[in-house]
Amino acid sequence: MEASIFLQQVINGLVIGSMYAMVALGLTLIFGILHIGNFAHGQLYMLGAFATYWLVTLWGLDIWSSMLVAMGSMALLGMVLERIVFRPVHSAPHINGLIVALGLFIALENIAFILWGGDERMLPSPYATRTITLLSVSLTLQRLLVFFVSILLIFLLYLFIQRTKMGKAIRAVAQDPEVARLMGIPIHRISAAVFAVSSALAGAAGALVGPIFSVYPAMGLVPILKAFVVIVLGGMGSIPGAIFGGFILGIAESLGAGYFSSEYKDGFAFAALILVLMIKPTGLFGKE
Amino acid sequence: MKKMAGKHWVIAGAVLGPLIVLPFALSKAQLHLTVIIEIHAILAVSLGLVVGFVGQLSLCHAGLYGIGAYTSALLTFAHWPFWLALPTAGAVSGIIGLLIGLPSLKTRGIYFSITTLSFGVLMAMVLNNWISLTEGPDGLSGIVSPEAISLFGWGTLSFKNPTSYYFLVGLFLLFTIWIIRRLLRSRVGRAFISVRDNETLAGSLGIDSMRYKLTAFTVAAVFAGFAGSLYAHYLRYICPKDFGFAESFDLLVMVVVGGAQTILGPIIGAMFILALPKFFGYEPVYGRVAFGIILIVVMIFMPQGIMGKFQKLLESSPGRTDGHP
Repeated sequence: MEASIFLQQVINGLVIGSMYAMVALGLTLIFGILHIGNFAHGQLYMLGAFATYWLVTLWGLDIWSSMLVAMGSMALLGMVLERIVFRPVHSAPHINGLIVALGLFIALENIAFILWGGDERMLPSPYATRTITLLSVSLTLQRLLVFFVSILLIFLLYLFIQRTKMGKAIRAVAQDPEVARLMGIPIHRISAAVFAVSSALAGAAGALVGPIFSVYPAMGLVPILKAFVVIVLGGMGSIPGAIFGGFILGIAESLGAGYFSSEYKDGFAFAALILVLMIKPTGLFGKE
Repeated sequence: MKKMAGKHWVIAGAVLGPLIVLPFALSKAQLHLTVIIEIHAILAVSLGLVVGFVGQLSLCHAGLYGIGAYTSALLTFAHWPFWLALPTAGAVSGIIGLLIGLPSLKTRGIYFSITTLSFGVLMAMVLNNWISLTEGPDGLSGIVSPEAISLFGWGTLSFKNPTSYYFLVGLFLLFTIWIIRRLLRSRVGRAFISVRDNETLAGSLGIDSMRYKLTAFTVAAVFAGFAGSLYAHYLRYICPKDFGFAESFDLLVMVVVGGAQTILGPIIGAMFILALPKFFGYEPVYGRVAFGIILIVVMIFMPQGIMGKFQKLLESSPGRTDGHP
């Protein structure tokens, strides 16, 4: 295959990978704090995309303000869900958390279906039709924006976790919740904050790819499955694992689809996961 | 001991009596649903062995079920009799289960769940894409019903009607329960529970946890294969969609909502999960919303599942009561 096609596939992979990384980052943060495999996280991605869609089409807001409003409302929704759904199962076995998340996943998807129907809608974006050429590879401006905006958001989140007091508390709780509580860290406030930032990030991912992949109630399924693969590949709870895992998976998938077979495109992620775990059962960046 | 056994027979009679009359009292649609519930009860009880008694959250049970269904259907296409295809389906699913279990069970906790999820997705993908063998997404149609068996002078018993199929699957369900009960009451079963409750401690006592986990996983896979065969020759049409990861999730939900650490729990769960949407009539979307919300409510208010709650009320739970797998 020619170099330009190779490059094209890598760039496509980076675009998809940035979406995976954003969803996976929130998922891994929530896992780090609550030890719940939060399936419902995929629906915040879907709802973020829908919120942006309605703000743009009904209210005539521009895409950036819409995305910000959507992120804010997803943060709020995430906090509400943490309070009424996840906190009551905090001390129950982890499987109960998984089932609760699954129940939420099913309920939210079908509520969206009742409200807005199953049609695929394109989120209108002024950048979706503008094409630019870079090193003999042509791509829409929207794809370029997905990549750079998500890098920016991931970087901001990283600063938040590493540099702020709240971020420090989040890391403390992830490391040892009991000791953190003894040190006077309010665990519930921390988990609410984690749900807020994670949900905002998922909402932003939905808003960014809405103009590329279209918006519909079932759109959350594939990203959440892939995000699970990413965080297991990267090691549960590992932030760099989720970021790099997301990009690696995106690139591997689009190269795999280009060079081998597109029918099994979605299978590469899962096959790669099995191979990695056979060699290192705690993931690439996971602790032993 | 003898007295206890006598009491058990009375209880068994009280439960089985109504179950024998049941198919004659149901409408056609209700009977169909009941057979589907029976098949899922076999799946849920066998998955319950892995989830509730060895503490491993497997997410590929539907894939093993699908392998059983396709194996059995394809063998009868090659003119094998159903009665031979059925055990073969169990064996093939068992072997695949063993092969999947070997690498997967080296991982723990959520890593195990996601590894089995991956295997489940891959199995469904193969069923979908190996078109020369499986006809792909169109599925296999025209699968034969089980051959009639002769009743030695009392005529023959045909399995083309749902009533006799109800009894066939029912017998299999009893067989499943019987085998798994026996297994759990043996030394092996006690080893299972010790591995579930504390793997490191069990290891220090010389219990080879990998071997026991693999045993439970493989036994469950064999029963999933049987269930697949029973399903294929009942509906007489199968497609990959029936065996995707959504089905695996539904099965896990049946086990946990019903009560994972009991044998009856998964059966209650299968009834609950499959019958529930029918109460919402023509709008399946509203049924799904209600289903999701009910899952959340059950898990918040009955963390041990329906059967676990019930057992707690009777205060006769033989297993752990704090419920951390």
